[in-house]
Amino acid sequence: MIDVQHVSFAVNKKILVNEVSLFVEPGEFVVIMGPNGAGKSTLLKMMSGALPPTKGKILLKGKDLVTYKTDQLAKQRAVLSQHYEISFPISAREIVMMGRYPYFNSFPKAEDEAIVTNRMERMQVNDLADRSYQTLSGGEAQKVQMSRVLAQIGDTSENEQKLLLLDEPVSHLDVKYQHQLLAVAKECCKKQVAVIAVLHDINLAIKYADRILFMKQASVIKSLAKDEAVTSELLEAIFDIKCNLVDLPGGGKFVVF
Amino acid sequence: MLRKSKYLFPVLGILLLAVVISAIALGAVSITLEDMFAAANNWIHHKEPGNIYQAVFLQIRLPRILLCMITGAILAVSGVLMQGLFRNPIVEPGLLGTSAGAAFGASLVFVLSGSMNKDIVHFAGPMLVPIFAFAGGLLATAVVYTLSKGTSRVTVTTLLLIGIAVNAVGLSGTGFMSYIARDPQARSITFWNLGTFSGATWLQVWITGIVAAFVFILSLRYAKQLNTLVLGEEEAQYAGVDTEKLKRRIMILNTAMVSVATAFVGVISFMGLIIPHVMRLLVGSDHKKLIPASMIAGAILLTLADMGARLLLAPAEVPIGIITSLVGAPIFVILLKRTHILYSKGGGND
Repeated sequence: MIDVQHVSFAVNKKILVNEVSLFVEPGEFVVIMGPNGAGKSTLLKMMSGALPPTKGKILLKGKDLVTYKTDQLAKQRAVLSQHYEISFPISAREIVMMGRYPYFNSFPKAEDEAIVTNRMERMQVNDLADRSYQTLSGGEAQKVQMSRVLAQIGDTSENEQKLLLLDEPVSHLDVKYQHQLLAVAKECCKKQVAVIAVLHDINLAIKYADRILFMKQASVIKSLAKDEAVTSELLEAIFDIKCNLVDLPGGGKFVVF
Repeated sequence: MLRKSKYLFPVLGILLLAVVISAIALGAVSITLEDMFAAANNWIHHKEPGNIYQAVFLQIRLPRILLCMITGAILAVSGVLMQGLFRNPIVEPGLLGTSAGAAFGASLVFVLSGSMNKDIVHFAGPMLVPIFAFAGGLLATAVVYTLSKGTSRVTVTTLLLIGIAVNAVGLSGTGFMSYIARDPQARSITFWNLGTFSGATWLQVWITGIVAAFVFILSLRYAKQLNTLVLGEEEAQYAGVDTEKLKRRIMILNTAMVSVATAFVGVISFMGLIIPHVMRLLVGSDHKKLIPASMIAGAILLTLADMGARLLLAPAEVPIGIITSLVGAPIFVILLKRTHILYSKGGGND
């Protein structure tokens, strides 16, 4: 699906991402973790196509990302950003419908309406449909944006694989909805979507990720597969803070910093 | 809750019809509905107007009101486009220097046409002022855009500031022209800067009408992309919009339509600022609805303003710009006070 080959990004000689390689297939949920300024968001931005790498290249479905046209790319991948500043009053449903804009010309087809309704139901925001987006709380807004991104992914199949990029998708959500959002993303994986997310909560990452990429100072330090156990040495090296691992009753570890 | 706009378009349509009919009927001479129908009937059958009222209706009142409607619609849609593009509710069409440039172009003609090449003046005739105004508007906007482009993408703040600077240059140019002008010329400049529809002709109606129709169809095609821009520039790109291309196209559309409208009727302020505001309150910011709604509302309000211009001091005429500013400014302040909450979350200052 996406093949990141020895990619670097530098601004004014400052290296933000250094020689990162990554290959993600549809069905895989990859989480990127690391301290502030590690280059996570920059890497994600390069994978979204918004930021061309200064070195190396990224292939999406075998084709160089920089050769995609903006509207073509919108049908291949969707991005959930960290912040949204909405400048004008507009209904939550229309925001979600924007996810379908790349797929129709002037007026939404019945299929688009159905997808929008379905995604809003999945994120449990259907009752907000007619509300002005600007009156929503931070968490509600985030769920509406996630619905929009899910609508942009649309219906996927063997021949129609997509990429979903999430930049700190749970930052404004309460515990229940943090799990709900990641569970929905995980569901997407089962339907030929490759998901790459930047997260800050190691326990959420352990629970949902198939692979965790630890970044520090612009480089990937460690790629941790699902069956590999996380160790306190690794986490202490990455985050510079003492931590304890607690065994969970059902198996697995819980990290306490 | 955003109010449902089920009844908005029928209501706007009825209002428009009522305003247009009363605007035609009222004036220095009153025209009855019978005369309107008779005149239309004669016109269709290529007959001369039956009486003086029918002639006034066909040759003076009707082109004037049509030009008014078209200009109002253009200014309102242009305001919607600019505010949408810059994600900022205080942007208005005049900001890019278009009207100041047009005013300077027009003042050049008023003062210097006496010393221009006689053949050119004779050839262009009544089109001389519009041609110079159009060129002035186009030139000023091009200067604003080029200067604000700099090295990276165009930002609202630079554009605003450079717009202010170019506007100031345009104004001082116009001021200088007034200074060296003889009295009647200076009066022409003043009147032009306040806008008037008193000289409306069918030719002007055709030219602005064709430009307006073309521009409206195009701007409706950009409605979806303008909506996406509400999310932010980067997010709009993720959603498939080539934002740089969109900016360029909307700027060109906007400059063309404002230059043409201003060229014939002079500077009319506040229309492009207030109508999009009011319509946003009524239909929300979905441009698929906002553009047509603003178009009709612009037509209604400018026709009303022109009616006021003709009737308030009849038989004399008040320049329409005085009315739009006098009524528009307080409305604008009230709206701003009442609705600042709507805009407080998004600054759009990027």
